[in-house]
Amino acid sequence: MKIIKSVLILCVLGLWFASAPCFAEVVDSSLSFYKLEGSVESDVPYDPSGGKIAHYLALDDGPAQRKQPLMFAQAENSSDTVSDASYSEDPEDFGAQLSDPLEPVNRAIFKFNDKFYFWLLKPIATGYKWIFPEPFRVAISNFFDNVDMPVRTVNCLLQGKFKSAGYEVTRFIINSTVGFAGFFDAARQVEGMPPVQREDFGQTLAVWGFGPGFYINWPILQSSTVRDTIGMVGDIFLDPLFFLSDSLGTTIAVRSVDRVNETSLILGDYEDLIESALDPYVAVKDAYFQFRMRRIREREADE
Amino acid sequence: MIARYIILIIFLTLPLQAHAGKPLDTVQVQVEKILDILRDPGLKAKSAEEVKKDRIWEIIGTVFDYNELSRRALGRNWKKLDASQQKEFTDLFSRLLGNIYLGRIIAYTDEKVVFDKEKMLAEDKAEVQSRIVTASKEIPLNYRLILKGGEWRVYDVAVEGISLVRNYRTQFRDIFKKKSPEDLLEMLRKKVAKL
Repeated sequence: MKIIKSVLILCVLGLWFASAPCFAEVVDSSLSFYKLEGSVESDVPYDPSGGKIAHYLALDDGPAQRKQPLMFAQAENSSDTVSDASYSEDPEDFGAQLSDPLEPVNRAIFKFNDKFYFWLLKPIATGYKWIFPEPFRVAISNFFDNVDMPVRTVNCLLQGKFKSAGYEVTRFIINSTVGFAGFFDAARQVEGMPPVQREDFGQTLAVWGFGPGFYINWPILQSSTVRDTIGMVGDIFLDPLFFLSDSLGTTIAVRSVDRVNETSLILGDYEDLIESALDPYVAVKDAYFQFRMRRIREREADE
Repeated sequence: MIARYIILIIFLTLPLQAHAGKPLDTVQVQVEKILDILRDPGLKAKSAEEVKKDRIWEIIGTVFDYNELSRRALGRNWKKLDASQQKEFTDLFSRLLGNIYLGRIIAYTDEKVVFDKEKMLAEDKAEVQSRIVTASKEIPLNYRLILKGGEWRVYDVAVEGISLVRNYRTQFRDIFKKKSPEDLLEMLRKKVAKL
């Protein structure tokens, strides 16, 4: 109960920050908008240790990468104002790479996960898709998104994204009421309302300066890193389902429905990636790394 | 609250006004041409499949800078290939990448494609940001362009922030640790033959 209470308090705080006076916001936004165009620092997340912790945690894999110890480090001499370490504008540069000391184990698990997908998850999701029409499945997806609001809101706050947290709370209020307990994303219809802010504790840790560590491919749970695994565990404590359900079994059952439902909406994506890759394992690993880097770099909702 | 949304809308449209320019127009015009072909009721029949593909390939050929994206996909390893290997690589890789892009666009034929803005990355480089809006989500689709001979050409596409060129660059880099350029070309030949 205590945790739920503190979450509520944090939410109220978020709302409060979000509804700061209009005028201040206008000045602030217009200033930051023009600043962003020419500045590179604004894209680099705050790192209280001055990069030391991150440097220590990031296990890079070659002299070419050593210049960029941190996953969001700046490429040197880069003219790219988007400041994207994963993508150097220098055509000679490979960009930051995720190290993979457990590669043999990870590759074995990759094979297992591949079978898990094709033999179990995909057939179930395909049947599920055949039974339930798309609007129903979208509604279920919306419902789970709404339930997960505390995870996103708290992580927005932990990253200092107060406006984003405010939007999350606003979305939650609109969707829980007008959106019939979250089954409809009514907030999406509101002009200027940004989409769901997909923040999690793994990203929060990154903003705090933690490097990814190395790649871990978990059975069933799939791609992760040392940091994102810690993040995943951290987020369980913010998951309302974890507190509301009577047993771990119930939580897993509910999350399985979530997983099948989500899979039914993206059937074919994994197949595309695998089929077009020369080395599917490396393709999936790199896709995950790039995807996470993009999420971490994302700024406040309306900037 | 209403005032806030009005302000938000103003700021959301600001970048559009400030940066309406060439790279975005280039991509948008061509992508809309492709979508028109895909949505053309006269070309819906199975027999028109080949005609449709040929026309789209022609457009993709004018938008994409195959040389640039092939060179970037190999990075430092580009120099390990001799001239004829480089040529074959460019040929095979552009067919592979073009097909992936085509597959993506076809999958989203019935969805709404919105072009948001362009961002100048350098004097001669730009990023065009677009979104595919489906019933359940929005998929960001970004193009990177380079200015060559007065024309903007695409050298990379990023789906949900995942750059295709960088994804292949990582794979090729791994392959080059143990294999020769000829091995790589053989892998590509096999892949392209299956398309």
